[in-house]
Amino acid sequence: MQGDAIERLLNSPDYQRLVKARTRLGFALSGLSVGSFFALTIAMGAFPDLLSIRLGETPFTLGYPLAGLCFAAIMSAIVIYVRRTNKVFDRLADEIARKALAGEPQS
Amino acid sequence: MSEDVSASAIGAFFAVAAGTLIITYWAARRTRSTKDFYAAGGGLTSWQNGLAIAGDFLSAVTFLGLTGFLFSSGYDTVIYLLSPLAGLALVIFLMAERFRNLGRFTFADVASYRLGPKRIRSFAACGTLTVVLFYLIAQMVGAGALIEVLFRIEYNYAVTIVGALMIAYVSFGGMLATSWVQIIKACLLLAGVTLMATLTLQRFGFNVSDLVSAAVAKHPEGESILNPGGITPGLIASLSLGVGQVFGTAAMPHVLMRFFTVKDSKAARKSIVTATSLIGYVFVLIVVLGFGAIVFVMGNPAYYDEGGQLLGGRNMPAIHLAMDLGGEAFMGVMSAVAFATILAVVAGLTIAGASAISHDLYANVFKNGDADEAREVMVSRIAALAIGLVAILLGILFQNQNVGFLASLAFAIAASANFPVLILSMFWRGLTTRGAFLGGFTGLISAIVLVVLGPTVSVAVLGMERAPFAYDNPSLFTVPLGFLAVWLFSVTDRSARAAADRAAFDEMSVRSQTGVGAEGARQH
Repeated sequence: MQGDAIERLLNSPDYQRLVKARTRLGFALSGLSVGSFFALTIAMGAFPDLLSIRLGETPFTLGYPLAGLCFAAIMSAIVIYVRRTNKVFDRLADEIARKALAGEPQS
Repeated sequence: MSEDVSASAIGAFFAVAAGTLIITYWAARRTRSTKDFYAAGGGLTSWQNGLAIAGDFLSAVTFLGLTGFLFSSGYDTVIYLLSPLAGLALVIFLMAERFRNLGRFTFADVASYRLGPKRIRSFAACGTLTVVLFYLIAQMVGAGALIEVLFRIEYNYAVTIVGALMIAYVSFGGMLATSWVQIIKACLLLAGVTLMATLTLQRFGFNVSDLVSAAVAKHPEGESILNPGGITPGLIASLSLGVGQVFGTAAMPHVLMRFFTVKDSKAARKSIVTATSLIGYVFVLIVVLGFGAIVFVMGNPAYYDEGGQLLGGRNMPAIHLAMDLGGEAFMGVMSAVAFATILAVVAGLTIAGASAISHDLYANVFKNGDADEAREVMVSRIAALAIGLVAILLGILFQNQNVGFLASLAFAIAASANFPVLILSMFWRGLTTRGAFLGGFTGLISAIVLVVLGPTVSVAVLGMERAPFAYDNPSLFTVPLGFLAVWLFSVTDRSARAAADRAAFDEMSVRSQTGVGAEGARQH
């Protein structure tokens, strides 16, 4: 029974769409978060002078908004993933699993 | 800071010890099956588990160490603050849900899902135990030194007390006790850090700019604390540190194990999102505490001895700041929070190590997955006791060693050995048992060898004249090497086992994506 369900799922366009969309989003957002962290790390190692530029009359250097930007990039990537999963992926995955186990044809 | 320990510190110390033992007593009566022991019966809510994961990350090293690091080194602390967040983001996007759908108790469950269980579990147990043991020694030595300062308990006794309490939590109360100790500690830490940051900012009328200006004016390095380059010697070294921190965070066995304490993959995802938000929040506040400590602690004769050394050492700025902000009573409470933090983190590590011995080695390698459940739980309890005793012994032995490298070694091993195997087992059809086994060990051994050849161990510990390997952190080299070795040993694998490994990918993929057939998944 479960073997049948798996076979049906693998051939269902719904399932293929879900896997493709979720994997692509996952890797894109991973790239964004990890990429922004390493961009900052490389900037710290390679261009310390650039990051040490004082911002006008404030006590802060350019490194601070850049670190803040990196923090914001990671946190917004998480928000995007969670919203997308709550709105789309969870429902799709549940629906696919329910149909597969009940033996209904996938759309 | 007075020479004697304050009454509030002593009171808070006993309150933490007694409170956690009561939790353990309560949890022990509810811990019978393997699922109870390893995964708290799968009954935690995503909020509770999120707090516990945050607790695993917010160790004393984080709270006290990073505040102290910012106190002395300024801007470069951002590598330590941002890398765990990037690592946790990876876990959210690529791992948490799939992981929960594929495994039951340990990360080896996931890695061995479609691969030869004996070899993969043997490797995973080695990976887990080395990571846990190195990290545990680092935590124990730090804990002993800290408790000695905070509560005036002699180092050897301090390490023994921490070890005994952690053995009690894990052996008797399993994951349920470990989780609740972790949850309560996380709440205490969140409240304490929030209060400290609020009191600090209040003194500057909640103007962050004024706080930073005051810190620059106070610090002997002046404006340069706001510039990068204080501690990270060059591009390769900082990149290597970053690689180890990001990918090591994503493959820490004691954190991965927490995904099995909730009911399904959605709850696993929610808990890691909760955890990451809480950790991000605390990290922002740690920046405030670091600057606050520079303003109120640095140069204040009350916190320095005659020789001009900071009382208690480099981890103490946060505790001295608590003294300055709220007097002795507040300092006592924050010391107890630090104590609770130590206990919770070592307990989390111990249960991960114990489960590698009992679930992976005993039940699945020696007993071929056919172990009696009650005996498996008994083996876990004994394993926790053994790990605890080893940790106490090594903690005492390593007292005067610089153990900082052991913590970065733990991250480097997790990143170089566990991470490639784990991620490729879920995402790459071509991975075979041989590839995972040999490639995983390549990552593990190369990380250990390069750390030993690096400056900290070869020059400082072994007394060599020149370090054969120039960097303290090997991850920039060993993580790609781990991936390369796994790939190479997989693509050249023509065995029947390899064909079966590849053929099982689709079934695994379906389960990881939809939860069909997953442990504890909702019945349809």
